[in-house]
Amino acid sequence: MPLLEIKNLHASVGDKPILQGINLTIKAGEIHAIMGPNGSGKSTLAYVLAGREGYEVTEGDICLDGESVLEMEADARARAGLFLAFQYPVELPGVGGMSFLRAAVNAKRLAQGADEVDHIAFVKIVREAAARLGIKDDMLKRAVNVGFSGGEKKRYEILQMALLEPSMAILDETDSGLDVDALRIVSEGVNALKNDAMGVLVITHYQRLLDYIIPDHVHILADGRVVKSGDKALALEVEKTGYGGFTDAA
Amino acid sequence: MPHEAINFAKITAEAAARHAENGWPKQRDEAWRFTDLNAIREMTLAPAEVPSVTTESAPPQDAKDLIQFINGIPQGIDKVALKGVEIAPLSTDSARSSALAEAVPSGHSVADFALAHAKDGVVIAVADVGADAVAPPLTLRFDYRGDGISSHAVIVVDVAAGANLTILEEHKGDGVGLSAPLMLLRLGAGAELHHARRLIEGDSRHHLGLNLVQLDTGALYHGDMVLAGGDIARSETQIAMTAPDAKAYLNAVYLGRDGQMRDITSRIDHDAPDGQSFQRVHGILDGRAKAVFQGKVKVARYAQKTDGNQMSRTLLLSREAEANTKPELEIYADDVACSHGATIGEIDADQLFYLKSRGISTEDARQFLIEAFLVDVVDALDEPARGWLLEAIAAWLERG
Amino acid sequence: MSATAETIRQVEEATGKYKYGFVTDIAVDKAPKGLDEDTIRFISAKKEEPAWMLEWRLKAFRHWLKMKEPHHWAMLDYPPIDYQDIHYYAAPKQAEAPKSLDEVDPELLRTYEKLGIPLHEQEILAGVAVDAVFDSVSVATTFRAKLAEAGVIFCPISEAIKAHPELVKAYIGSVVPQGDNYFAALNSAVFTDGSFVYIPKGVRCPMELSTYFRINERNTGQFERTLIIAEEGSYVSYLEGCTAPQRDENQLHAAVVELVALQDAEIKYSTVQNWYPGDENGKGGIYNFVTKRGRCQGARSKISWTQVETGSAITWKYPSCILEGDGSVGEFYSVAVTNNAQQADTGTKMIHIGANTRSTIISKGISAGRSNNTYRGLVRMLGGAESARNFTQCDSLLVGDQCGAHTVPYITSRNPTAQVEHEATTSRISEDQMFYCLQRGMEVEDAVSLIVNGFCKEVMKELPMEFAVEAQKLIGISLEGSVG
Repeated sequence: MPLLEIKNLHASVGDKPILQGINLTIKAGEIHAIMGPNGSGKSTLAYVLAGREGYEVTEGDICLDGESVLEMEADARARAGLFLAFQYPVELPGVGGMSFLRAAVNAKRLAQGADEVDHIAFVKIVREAAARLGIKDDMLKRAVNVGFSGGEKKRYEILQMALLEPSMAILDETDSGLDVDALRIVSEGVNALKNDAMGVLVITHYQRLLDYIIPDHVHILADGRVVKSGDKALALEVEKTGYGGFTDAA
Repeated sequence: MPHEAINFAKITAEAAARHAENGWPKQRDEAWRFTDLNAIREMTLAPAEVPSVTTESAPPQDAKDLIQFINGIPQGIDKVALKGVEIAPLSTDSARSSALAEAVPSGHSVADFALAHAKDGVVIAVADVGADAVAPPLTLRFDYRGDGISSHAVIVVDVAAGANLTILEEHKGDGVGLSAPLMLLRLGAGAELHHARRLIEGDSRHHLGLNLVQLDTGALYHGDMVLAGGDIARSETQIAMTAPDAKAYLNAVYLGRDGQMRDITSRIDHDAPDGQSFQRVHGILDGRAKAVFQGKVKVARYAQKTDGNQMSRTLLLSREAEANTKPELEIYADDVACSHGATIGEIDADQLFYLKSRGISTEDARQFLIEAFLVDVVDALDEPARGWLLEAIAAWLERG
Repeated sequence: MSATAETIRQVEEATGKYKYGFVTDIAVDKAPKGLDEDTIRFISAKKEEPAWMLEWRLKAFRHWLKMKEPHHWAMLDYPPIDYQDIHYYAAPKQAEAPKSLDEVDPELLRTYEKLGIPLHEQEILAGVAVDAVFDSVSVATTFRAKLAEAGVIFCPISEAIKAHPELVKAYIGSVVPQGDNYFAALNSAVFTDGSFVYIPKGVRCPMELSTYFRINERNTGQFERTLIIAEEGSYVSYLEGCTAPQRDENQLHAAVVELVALQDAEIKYSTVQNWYPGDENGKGGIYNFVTKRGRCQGARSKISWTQVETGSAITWKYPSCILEGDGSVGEFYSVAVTNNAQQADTGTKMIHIGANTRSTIISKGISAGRSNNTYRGLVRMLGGAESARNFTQCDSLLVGDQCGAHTVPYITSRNPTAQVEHEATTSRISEDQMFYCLQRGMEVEDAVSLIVNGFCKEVMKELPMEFAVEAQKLIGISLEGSVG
């Protein structure tokens, strides 16, 4: 059974149709990349998958582990194993980092029938995971994403991914705003988390992230549709020729 | 000393005459623009009489750090035994009675009402006992009961030069009534007063409180308040900085639901150089609640180097709530740093989505964001009383 | 001769700070002083108005009689105005209304030239159409033919009442009703002229429109009324300038401006107000009590007010936006400079009625001398203002320690999805900034002017080019003598 199945997905924001019939199947252990020019619907796809309000599915279906998630709110989808690393992580002034992380992890554990995580043990887990991503202790003490640099925010997203152990991770333009060193750290973080049971969907404008997170499949998104699919070579082709040829085809 | 008693009686009689003439403030009075007192105007109120002391109303006899006010009337003030703190009736203190009469702003009809029906007042005089011997907090517990009663507590707190006092003031109780406490807080040079207040009266009560603060050179007033009770509830603070280097903090959390009215009014007069005032007011409104924060900072010509800052934030949790803000600056000195900021809005949808995308339920996510909304003001609360004030906030939030 | 020349030079030096303070010597036709129903009938007759207009005026007058001058809330201090000691009508004597500029009294044309407003079309470089209002009447409107080609009506309102009664009837008083406030009621009763603008559906007005107001006569009040209607999808940018001679007595100016923007229409209204502010001691100057309001009636319409207020002894003015149409936008950009004994109480109201309405308020107040400068603003989010937004930034600058800077914002929200954000600061020109400029060789007044203009930059950039340079100079001139 596929992990994530997107079937003829149409979605609108307001009255404006953005996604116009996307089909995509991701199996456990696979890494898929979606590439496309600005305005092709990449971020909309990420939000639709995560269940953001205001992004309305007008046709088609999204199934996680064979079950439709359309009727599920964002938090239920997250507890079911879907994780979105945001392109622009939101600042939460006044919300302490540790209590936020603990609440997220406990929400998932409770949904799975497990006990809440032990406070002291949790701090240790977070610190270790943070250290691997080069996240300093004082960042953990601050309010969520507040005062973080662009790179720090992205690392913090991957930290959450590490703690929540999703079955399906969507990385929305995780490379944007990162310098080479930060890109390497973030990619290594993702690669370390990747396993045979997990699917990854990398959404990106540029090819360079795919040098670090090697995709099994590459899809080109244009005007709300997947216009071409292929392997890693397709990403390199895009880098050479640009998106011009694909959008015209669409 | 009879002539002194007459003095207090004269003051109350004059106040009664003024109130009789002016009546309750109307919304066309700028200071009452947002707060409709019709419900109070229509009440039939009898001023509180000395209560018959029943077992349940009696203050704990062993409390040396507590004054209990039953319907505004102090009980057993002679029991208080705090180092450097003296408690006495106001009626026998003509100097302080006069000081109070002078301090009451002219035309302030609510202050006149408070004074008009006060049987007597309380003087709390604090002496400088040295930094090592500062007294523990003095608790003023206002307990209201019965229907159709107006309560008129009149208190003069005198903190002598160099002295330091912490007051924990609580207003609670039920019934249909009006509390109109009036306080004059005078701080001598270098004196400190830490004044924490929980206003958690029952839903059928109204509260119209006025605090008049006078600060001498280098004095510090730190006022923290949680206003979470009552139907119409207004807390007004006027601070006069008549000598240099005075400093005031005013932090307030107001919480309203149903058809409640919350009114936080402040006026700070910087009348001397180098003064500082910092106000932070955060409000949460649910149901059909309505609120106003109106704060005026006035800086006189000679009050150079004044630092005045106001921040007001309101969170609306329902479609029917209404928030009003009027932060006002009136500035006649040029070398000053004065600012204010105000925001009104609801829970941020992006933030809510971010939390939900991490698996946190809508309800928990909202709770996170409501608490986060209060963080800045909670951080600004005076350390010793913070927990005591947070209890009142938690109780309100829990009622949901 | 040389002695006379010397005297003139001295007089000019003494009074020269207000360079528009000259008087034009011209024959005038005046109503006697005083105000009663006959005065209104006189004005209406002079203007050859239809009966409905006279009735409308009388209704306003009867309302006004019942009203009280608003003296309590604004931070303004002035003696009571004697409304019977004013001429309510003064017009340059002329046999008939001029048909072309050639028929306009050359003395009048010279006045406008002195003001830097050439009315001769061939002299206009920037392509700005001008309506010139002298005391009570519009003396010339340029470029009318060209505008007419585009279907744009730009004419004196007195003419519009006769030529386009259906438009005037439909819109006059629809934004500022006759009884709106004391001064609006007075204006409604006695207004003498002003501009009328109508932009038809889908038309982008081919040039900037502009009106110059000039009070000339002694003891004359000026009560102009401006009405601008922008039909669906149209756009117009309108500029307004005002000057008056230097006189020892105070003169009253009580104007009303109404703007109506229909769906997708945009009106940009810019004012450089430079009425005579009075002398250093506060003697003389214009009392400027003005009601300006725009209604964003249609969806996605936009009204933008930009004002640079440097003149008048008293300014009482709150250009406002009623944001009715969903997605409509209101803007208020203001610079108010007060010096000497000037008093200004000015700001805006943004009333959010429709969903997704947006407003921006940027106010910069500069107080110098012994002046008082108040920002008074109101932002109201009504129940239907779903997802509406307001941002207000309100900064005051004090120049010297004898002046006052005040901020009085009122904010009300009845819709939780609406967001209101307000920030205000008060500061002075820092010694560091001054020293830096002086060290670079600038003179004190140039340095003040430079720093103040920097402080106002956000507003100044909203002004049309033609006005921006003039406004910048004006700010410098207004602050002369403020730093010793």
